[in-house]
Amino acid sequence: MNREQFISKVGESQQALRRFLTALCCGDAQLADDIAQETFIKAYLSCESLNDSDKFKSWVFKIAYNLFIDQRRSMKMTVDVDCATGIEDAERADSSFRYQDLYKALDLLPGKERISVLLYYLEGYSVKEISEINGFSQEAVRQHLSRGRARLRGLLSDDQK
Amino acid sequence: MEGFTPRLSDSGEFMAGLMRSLNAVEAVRKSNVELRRRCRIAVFVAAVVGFVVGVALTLIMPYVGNIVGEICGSFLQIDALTPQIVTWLVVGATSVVTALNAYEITLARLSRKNV
Repeated sequence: MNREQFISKVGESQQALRRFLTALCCGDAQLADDIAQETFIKAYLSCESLNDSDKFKSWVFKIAYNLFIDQRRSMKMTVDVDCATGIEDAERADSSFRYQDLYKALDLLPGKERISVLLYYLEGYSVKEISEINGFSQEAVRQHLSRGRARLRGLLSDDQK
Repeated sequence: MEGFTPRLSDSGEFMAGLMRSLNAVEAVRKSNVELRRRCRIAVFVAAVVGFVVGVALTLIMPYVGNIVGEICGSFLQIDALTPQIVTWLVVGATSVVTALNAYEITLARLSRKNV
């Protein structure tokens, strides 16, 4: 894959990746963008190893997932969603506020369940594709989805009360 | 999760930032390739110089051996083997030092050209 092809693929997938990372980072768009930038740079450095360009999107999602995990380990991210880090303007504040309940609920999910739920419901990946991205078996992914769904439902309905 | 559309920063800004990073990556890559090229040339020059100096010294070894024998003999009682060993050490050390110097000088001159 040459540079032009790479940039074209980035243009197609950057919005979806940033949306996924924003949800993963519980609304911290600045952190999400930082991870997204690092993801694409890592992908650029090893794009020659990607044989099937149709799998570009799931490949970058896998890199982003690994970077998020590394970030979490190094920063010991127990995200305080109430702090709403990285909010610089009123529009972004409104956006974060709109999804605050969702971010809080996602933040309470274990990492594996959160990632599986986001990839399945937000990005529309199949169980098989999710297992390729995060490295768990398909059975494990199904369990993560089932538990994650139940937990989210419980958390969001508690918030509404 | 349906209708989840968080407001993202401007895509144009994101892509512009990414392009700057990719350009920096390319610059570093080119610099590394150029450095490897200069090192290969320097190694080649050092190998040639070391070989030539080694061959030259080997050809004049009898004369070098006589000089070393005289120097060693004037300091202490030695056997017949010691001057030969010392001569070979002198030849080897001179070749190696000359090759190393040739490597350093070649690398420095090539780096200065590129700057």
